[in-house]
Amino acid sequence: MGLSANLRIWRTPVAATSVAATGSRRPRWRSLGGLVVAWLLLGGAWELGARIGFLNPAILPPPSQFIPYLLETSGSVGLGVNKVGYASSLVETVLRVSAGFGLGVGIGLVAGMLLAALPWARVIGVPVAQILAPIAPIAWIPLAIVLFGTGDGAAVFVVFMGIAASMTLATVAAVAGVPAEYIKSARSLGSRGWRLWLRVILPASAPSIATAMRLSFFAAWMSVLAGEMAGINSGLGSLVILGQQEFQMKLVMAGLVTIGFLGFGFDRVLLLLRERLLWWEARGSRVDAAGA
Amino acid sequence: MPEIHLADICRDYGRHRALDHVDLTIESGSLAVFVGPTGCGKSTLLELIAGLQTPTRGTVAIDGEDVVGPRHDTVLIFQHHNLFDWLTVRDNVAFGLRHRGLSRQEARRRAVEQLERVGLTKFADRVPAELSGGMRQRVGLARALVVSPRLLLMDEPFGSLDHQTRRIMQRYLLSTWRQSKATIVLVTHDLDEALRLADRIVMFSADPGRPVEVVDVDAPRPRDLEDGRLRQIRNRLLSHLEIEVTLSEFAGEELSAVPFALEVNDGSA
Repeated sequence: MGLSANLRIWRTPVAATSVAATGSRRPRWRSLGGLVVAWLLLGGAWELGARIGFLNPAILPPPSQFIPYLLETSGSVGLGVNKVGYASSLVETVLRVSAGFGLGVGIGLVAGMLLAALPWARVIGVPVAQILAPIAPIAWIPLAIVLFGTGDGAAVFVVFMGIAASMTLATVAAVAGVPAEYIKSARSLGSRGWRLWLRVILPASAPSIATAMRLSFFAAWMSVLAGEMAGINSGLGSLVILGQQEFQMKLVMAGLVTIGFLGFGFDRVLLLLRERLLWWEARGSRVDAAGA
Repeated sequence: MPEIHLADICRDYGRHRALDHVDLTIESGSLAVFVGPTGCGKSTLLELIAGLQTPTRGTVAIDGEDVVGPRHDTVLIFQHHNLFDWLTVRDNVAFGLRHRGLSRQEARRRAVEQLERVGLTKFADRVPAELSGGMRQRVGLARALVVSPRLLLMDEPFGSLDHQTRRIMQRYLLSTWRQSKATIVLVTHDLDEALRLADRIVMFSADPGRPVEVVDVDAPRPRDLEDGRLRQIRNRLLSHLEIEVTLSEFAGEELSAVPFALEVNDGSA
């Protein structure tokens, strides 16, 4: 049966796309199913461990404890002005990381393109970015707090500094990685100036830039949480630290699980964006997959 | 139909001289083929003619006009990375037209017309990754021909294709060349390809790169490579290439140690 299916694809390539089009949806459902099953298994084991006393529920409270706790108390810790709630912390962190990520990626892209386009700027700009990039995001926290106080500004700054320089370098590298023959072909067909950049260099470097963006998001997510844990006293990171200080382990667990799932969600959104924007990538691999 | 005139061309990369005092004229409407060992500067020369590089010394003139950048009547085709992965076949073919001031609609309309001529209309909405190697090269050719170039430069255009596909593409090239009357300069490693296509074969030697011999092939096409005259030319090309490759692989002292390296076919075989 597999052979005859292959033969049909070989003879009429039109069939290849239709077969592959349905095929492309299947892995997505499969990965979603895998996600649900994996977490059901993990949660089940966690519950079981807590029930039989293998895990200490005071330190590692299972989902059956921290989820109802979260719903009942709306997950707030602290008193008076120091009171921090789960929902507001979550919103704060998401907004901060979005702003920092957007700024860092945006400015990194523009700076990277400029450096790639202007050789004299590259001589100065690349070494600067190379020194800034390896500075751990956490190292910016003291400066951020002095500059912006312990609020959103500091958190956005930490995220921005954590990713902008590496995003700049990744963009320079992505443009440098565009095959010279692409550019020569385009120039030979009459393309030049900004059109050459927009129509050829940008799309040709887009796949590597998209990969760099995804990696940047992980750095951004680490940065915002680290910042909130170390001085910027609000947001999800701060909530987890407060939970620990007041020995509210249910809140700590709820916070950890939230951080994991939110990060996962953001990554999926970036992946989806890539599939939409770089639509041609999936079409190429489909035929390869169907033909293989 | 442009005539290409190269006068005293040198091209240096740092301290390395890729092309050394090249003087060459390619007649208008002819099909010239460059053959030579790797690194003999034949691809560089093609890019100089295309206006994508400037010579360190000397001038490239097309129809008496100095080449200072890419010209609207010249298109260069490569072996790889010829099509843009992010454009459909139709938009790939329309690419050059868009840069000649045509509207998107008009460019696409003409692109589809051109695709009809190469039998690929059905694939207009595909992306290059969905095509076979031969189809991709046909689209690449369509993309070049759609702008009606008077000069077509091809850098090992069929090098990555299998034997049968290559033969088909060669026949296709010859038929379009006859219709268009364009001047074609083609670089190849494949001697049979050179013999099947060329009006004139320019043999290059390496280090420094320069043309060392020009052979006119005036046999009618389609050609029978077993024909006595063509076999003679073939043997000459072969011995030239073997000497060139040997010289670039072995230094002088090594050559005396491996005397068999220079026992080449002298055409009497």
